[in-house]
Amino acid sequence: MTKQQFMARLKAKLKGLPKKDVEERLSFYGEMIDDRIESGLSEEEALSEVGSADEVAAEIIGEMATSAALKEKVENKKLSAWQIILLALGSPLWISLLIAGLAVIISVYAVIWTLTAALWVVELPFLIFAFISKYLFIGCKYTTRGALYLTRQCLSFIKSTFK
Amino acid sequence: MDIQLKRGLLDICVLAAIKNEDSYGYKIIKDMKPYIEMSESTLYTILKRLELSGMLTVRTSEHDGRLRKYYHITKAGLGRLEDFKDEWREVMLIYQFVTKEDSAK
Repeated sequence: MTKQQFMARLKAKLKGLPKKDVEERLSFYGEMIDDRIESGLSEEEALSEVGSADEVAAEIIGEMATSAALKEKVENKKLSAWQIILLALGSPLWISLLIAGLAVIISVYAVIWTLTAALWVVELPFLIFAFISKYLFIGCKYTTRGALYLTRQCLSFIKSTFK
Repeated sequence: MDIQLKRGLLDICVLAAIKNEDSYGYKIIKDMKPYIEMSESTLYTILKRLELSGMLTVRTSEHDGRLRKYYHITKAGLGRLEDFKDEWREVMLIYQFVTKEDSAK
């Protein structure tokens, strides 16, 4: 491998990093290689002392990750404050909202059944007058059937979410 | 050597390598080699850190038809080396404490 190949490979490996930083590092390594050659090493020897482009890139990225991790450690206080806020406000809020939502659904469901029951109660006194009651009876029947259908649909939906 | 301990010492060694005269990357590594070894990427990180904290300044100058960066120690850098000497006396006291048991045997 020549110095040029080394530099090209290193540049490609550091592609994701900030451009200015990459340029600076590349010129640093270029200087290191040139100085080794100047001190009497061959290009090949100089490159083997510096290490392969892949190794160097891994080292650079590793070092950047370490300094980033150290920075994060310093900023940890800020992060945990946010976590506290999220835990204190966010989580119980969502749980109570979820409970409220479920309560609304259940109450709507209860209303449907109450309506059905009321229709049946109203129908009872008219039982004697078969003619009038006939139509009311149909109403009762279909409401009940509708409510039962709704129940079945809901149950199968709940079942499917747990599958 | 323990990584944590070495990390702290490397900064001092780099400052010591440019204490008497301005130096450049490869020379710093070469001068330090008999005492402590470091990779190029470590040296780069240390030089950057020392520059940002005002311990050294960088100048680029031409050498043999190419550019080379020279590092110059600042007053703050020299002060840091002086502090290290004092700190090391404390470290030596700790060393004595650590090895006390051994000599008593």
